[in-house]
Amino acid sequence: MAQASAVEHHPTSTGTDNRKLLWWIFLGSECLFFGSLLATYLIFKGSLAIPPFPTDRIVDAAALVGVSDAAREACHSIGNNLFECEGILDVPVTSQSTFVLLMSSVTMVLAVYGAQNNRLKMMKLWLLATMLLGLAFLGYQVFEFTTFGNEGLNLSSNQFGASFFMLTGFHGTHVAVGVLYLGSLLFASFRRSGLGPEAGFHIESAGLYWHFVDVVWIVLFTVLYLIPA
Amino acid sequence: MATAVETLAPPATQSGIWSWITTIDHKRIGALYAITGFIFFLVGGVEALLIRAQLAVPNGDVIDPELFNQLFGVHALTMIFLAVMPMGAGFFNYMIPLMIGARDVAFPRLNALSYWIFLGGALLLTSSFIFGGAPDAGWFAYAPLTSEQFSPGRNMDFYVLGILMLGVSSMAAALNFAVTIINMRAPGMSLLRMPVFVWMTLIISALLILALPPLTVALLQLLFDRHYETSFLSPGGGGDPLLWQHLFWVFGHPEVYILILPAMGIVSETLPVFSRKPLFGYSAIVFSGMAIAFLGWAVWSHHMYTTGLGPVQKSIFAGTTMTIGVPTGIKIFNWLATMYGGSIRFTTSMYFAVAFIALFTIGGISGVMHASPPIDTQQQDTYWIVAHIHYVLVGGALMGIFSGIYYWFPKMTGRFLGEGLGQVHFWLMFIGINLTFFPMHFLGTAGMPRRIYTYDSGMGWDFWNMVATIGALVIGVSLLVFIANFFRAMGQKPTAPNNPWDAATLEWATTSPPPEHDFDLIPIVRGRDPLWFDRDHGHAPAAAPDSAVHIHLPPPSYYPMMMAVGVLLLAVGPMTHLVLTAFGAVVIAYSVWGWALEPTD
Amino acid sequence: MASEAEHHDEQHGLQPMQYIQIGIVLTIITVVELAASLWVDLGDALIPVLFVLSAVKFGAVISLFMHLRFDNIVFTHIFLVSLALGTAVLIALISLFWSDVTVIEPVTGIVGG
Ligand SMILES: [Cu+2]
Repeated sequence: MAQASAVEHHPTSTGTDNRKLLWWIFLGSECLFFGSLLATYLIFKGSLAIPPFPTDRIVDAAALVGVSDAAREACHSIGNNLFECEGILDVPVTSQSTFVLLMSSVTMVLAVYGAQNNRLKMMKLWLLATMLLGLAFLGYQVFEFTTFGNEGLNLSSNQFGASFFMLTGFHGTHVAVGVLYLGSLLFASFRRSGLGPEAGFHIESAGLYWHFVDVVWIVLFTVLYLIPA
Repeated sequence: MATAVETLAPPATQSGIWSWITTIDHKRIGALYAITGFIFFLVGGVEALLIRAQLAVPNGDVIDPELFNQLFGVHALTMIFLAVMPMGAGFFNYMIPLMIGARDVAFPRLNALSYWIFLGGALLLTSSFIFGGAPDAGWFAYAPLTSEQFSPGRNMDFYVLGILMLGVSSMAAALNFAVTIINMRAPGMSLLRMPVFVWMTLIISALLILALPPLTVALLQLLFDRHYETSFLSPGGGGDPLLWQHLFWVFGHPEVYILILPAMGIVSETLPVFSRKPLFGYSAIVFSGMAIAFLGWAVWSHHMYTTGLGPVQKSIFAGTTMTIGVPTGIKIFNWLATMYGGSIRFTTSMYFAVAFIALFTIGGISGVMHASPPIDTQQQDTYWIVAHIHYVLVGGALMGIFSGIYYWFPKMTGRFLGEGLGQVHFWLMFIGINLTFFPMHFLGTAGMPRRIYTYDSGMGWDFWNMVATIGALVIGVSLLVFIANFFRAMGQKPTAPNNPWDAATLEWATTSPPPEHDFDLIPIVRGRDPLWFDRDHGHAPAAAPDSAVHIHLPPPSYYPMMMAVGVLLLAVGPMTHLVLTAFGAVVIAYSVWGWALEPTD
Repeated sequence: MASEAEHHDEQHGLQPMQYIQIGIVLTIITVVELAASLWVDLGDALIPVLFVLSAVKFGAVISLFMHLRFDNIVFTHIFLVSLALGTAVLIALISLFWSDVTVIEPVTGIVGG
């Protein structure tokens, strides 16, 4: 009764932790964010007129007017005023980064397990592994973006470039924020007091965010890379 | 870093500007929201008066066309985002914890952060008048008018970045209130015992949480189009201007409910109290609130009937839009039934509540009229639409807010707003609203387009435009009366008892104004109208607790304010220099770290 | 709070070995997806197959890794309602554009110039 507004420790109406509830509502909101970005991508995907294209496509000469040299290089004449343009997406490479992010979810859940069961060494180890896998994913993304840039795809090349970079870029930003989030938790866990009595909770929250970023990628990988034109 | 965290000790005093900057008390934050919102309401009112002065007579030349364009855009933005929403937020902040029997919101520091980011966004948006021109493309800022090609100035950058900031603020507040209402209710307060105002706040929070992301995406697309060479919205580069309209109205229509539901919640509190009768059809009102919020997602294209939608799409959106009239009608009849047979006390608050029902019904009916595509095609972009929106937002939302102000003023300040001046305020405002906005129906059907800078004589628009301008002045005078009433009341001694209106909800169980910890003893809820239930069933109010009991409150914090400064820097960056954005990110990172390590016990 | 940690231990989630097994299963599903998309010709069945497989992965991560299955049902409701709304808005937007009789043809030639 004397314990007043120290809300975190007060029994709640649903019995759930306020902060965890906040996380889940926030992730619900994120569904709408990525949904709108993905809708934009799909809306424009239907009416792409000029290369670079995500997948192989045959166009007529008019589509090549005014496109950059790099984008034109991917298109070969097949006679009859038609050109075959090579798709820009490299599914094998992105499969590797997808695998990396998927594995980071496994390491993350192990870190949560370690934190909740007071096995702090395990927690720190898997936290570090998750961070490194996240960084590796970002590395793949930097590689992908640079390659695409060299092949003539950028924010202004066409609607595919704009919506693709916006969508995957904001996903990448989420991953980067997650790496920083995990990094600060890892850093804080080396203090004398560690993460305090609520270590399990803190790592679990970070885990919710991390896994969510992973499930977004599960959707994006399928819709952007695996489903053909 | 840790040393810097410790250098500034929490303030010892409870007054002075520092205590307001660092406050995390929901009541103080509520007061900040309400006062800031009211000041911006006056700003938006002055903008409206300038517009009306320009339109009073044909070929008016009070202001130049450029300023006129900025004024009607910023008038709408100010009234929606800087006045009505914050005044609503003021009530949420002040009242929700009290009404559910909690000692604060779930995240007091996040609450302070919402306010400071709101203030930053509001100042950013308004400062555009000084720094080179305010947004001049209407509040919905249709593409491609907003592209760099057609809006080369900074005007639309202020729009994009200001609204993005306000969105972040609203999102933080909505998350906070959703968690507070779901999780912080006093023992015994089940969901279906919550006051309707609490229900409406929960619904609004859900709407904000789900509707802001599409707007954010649209704003980011506009930002990227203007500064980073994409062309999402400009047809010249292969984009589609309709994409903006869709994403904007996916947010925009729920936003209308975000504006009106607080008022519906407020009158659902004041009508029963001043009719001395429990709310008629409590569950019907709650569930129609949910139905409105749910259906509100499936109607957005009714703003876009003239953009070339197919007949099937138009029929679907017309059907869903008309359907929303049903739960809205259910609410109206329940409010009427609440008054029926009650022993009504005609206080100023009650006057406003009754006027709300009447005026909102007019706005609702004109809304159902242009739910029909053929009729809307005729009314699109005419003053008819202006009449409709103002009956809903001024006659509806604002009347509800004033009902709440007169009702809760004694709880918030311990003082009463004068009933005499209140009646003058009410009647002037009521007459002013109808003088201003009813003629706009005539102007609209006579074909006067909205957003025009001036018009020629002989169109048949002269008379009603003059009437509307006179009406606007009457509304202005009524607000002066209200301000006088406010200062007169604040000059008096606080004499209000705990429950001056004999109301039923928990906020009236504590002192007026409430102590910092809200309740000495967390109340126990035994029925839907807890105070009436206890009175009728002979439950005495809980005894005052042993004075030895120490109620612990979290200490004040300056990190919310600091983080809001970081967010402001982050937002100003794209307009000026990205170095500011980077600096803002550092400030945010520093405050997150300090925030996380700051002791809350 | 110590009691909460013990509480987690008993019923809050799975054992490390099980998590690793789930990770392996998720990897296998991803390989199957890749195979379906790149190496095997499924014809019209491809898109539904890919959707089902991704949905399984999605469901496994949110229910097991994110502990929705072991947690308060409130979280599941909140998340699934938001997800459903997001999907509905996405589908509505796409179908509004894809069925649009007046699709705006991009003006080639201006692009990039
Ligand atoms: Cu609407």
